[in-house]
Amino acid sequence: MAYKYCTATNWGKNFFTHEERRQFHLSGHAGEVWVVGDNLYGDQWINKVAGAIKSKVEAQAILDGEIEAAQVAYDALSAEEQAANSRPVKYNLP
Amino acid sequence: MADYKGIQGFNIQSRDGDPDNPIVGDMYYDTASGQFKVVKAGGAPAGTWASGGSMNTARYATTGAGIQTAAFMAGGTTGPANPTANEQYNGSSWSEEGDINTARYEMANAGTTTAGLAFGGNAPPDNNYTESWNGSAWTEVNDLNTGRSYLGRAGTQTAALAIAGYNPGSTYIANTESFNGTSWSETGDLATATNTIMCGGITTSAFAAGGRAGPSVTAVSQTFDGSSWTTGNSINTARRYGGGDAVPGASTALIFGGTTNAASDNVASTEAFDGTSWTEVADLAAAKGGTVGGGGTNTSGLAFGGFNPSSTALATTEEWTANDYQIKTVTTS
Repeated sequence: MAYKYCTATNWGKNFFTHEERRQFHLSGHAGEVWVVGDNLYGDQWINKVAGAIKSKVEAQAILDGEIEAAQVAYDALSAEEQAANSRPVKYNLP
Repeated sequence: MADYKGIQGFNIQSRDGDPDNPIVGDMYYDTASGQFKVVKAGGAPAGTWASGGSMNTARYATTGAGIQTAAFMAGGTTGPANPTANEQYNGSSWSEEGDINTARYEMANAGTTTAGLAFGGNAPPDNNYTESWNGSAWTEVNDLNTGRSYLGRAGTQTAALAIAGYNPGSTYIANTESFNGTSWSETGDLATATNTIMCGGITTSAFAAGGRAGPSVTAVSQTFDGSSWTTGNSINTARRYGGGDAVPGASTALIFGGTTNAASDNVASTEAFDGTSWTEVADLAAAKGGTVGGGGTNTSGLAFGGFNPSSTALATTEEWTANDYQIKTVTTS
């Protein structure tokens, strides 16, 4: 499946609708990164939410930056606080 | 021999794909897949998640409760701070209501927007507080017998369950307590001591799924009949820290989100329970963990708050809407 990548701020109700979820792939990630199915409906949604188109490399860099910041925050926690959760690790966008 | 038109009064329709609003009993030919299909009642709910209004205070680590058009989230944490905030959702937007008395996180909420309950949670050195909401203010009532955080919940203000959890003396708790509107009493233990478990239902028909039962997350699912827990079929994706719907009994449950390990392993996966087995249904738009707020039913649910894979608290809401039907392909053999 082919994807497009963008950043957009979720404003809440009707940012994405049930109908849109049926029409194209959509997944949100840290840094307001959205992975959008590459079809007509996906293009219409990006336009609706005024998404800023990114390349996959750019989108991955935004996500990586968010994870790195979370890793720094995790490393600053006490041992007891760290025990409750695991250290965030980077992952690849589809 | 009668044909379809002779029985129904019309020919089988040809459609390009499945209909948006199927009617139970309909039969049609799907030209897109080249298959005859029929709409049957029951089965895993066929639904999707759409965005709902955003909370005023992004947070996680509290279960929330209520229904899709009247839910609430009390307490929790923003990450750096533990607010006393209590917000209510009306189906489109969140409003700030009366604060809980004691700020705490990894707590549980139960009941409704006019008759709520908030219990457990981490407020060092205590973790057994219970507060009752009458629609305008929170009042402290009798404490849990076994203080705990990272717990699950089910029920209403006057008939609630506190399920599993964690406290400094027990990393994984099997103990379940039942609240009768006045005080808590111990009832049947879970088969597996667990924390960060996903729960829902009522005191006579509840479910508990996933959680952490040792070094790893578990896929174990259990149901409660009012006195004892029974282990059933496992969930498909072992996870903890997710959300569970709040209203129905153990026969129609929904779990969503959670994490398989670290925050960056958050999942968007949603699973529906039909009383016997769990089925993967449509994903959340965004993976989220950190104890996701949950409300509603398995055909009209709500997921709110939680944290994203970079451990940032979320204010977002997603609304689950599904029809209680299944589209089956007609086969011959």
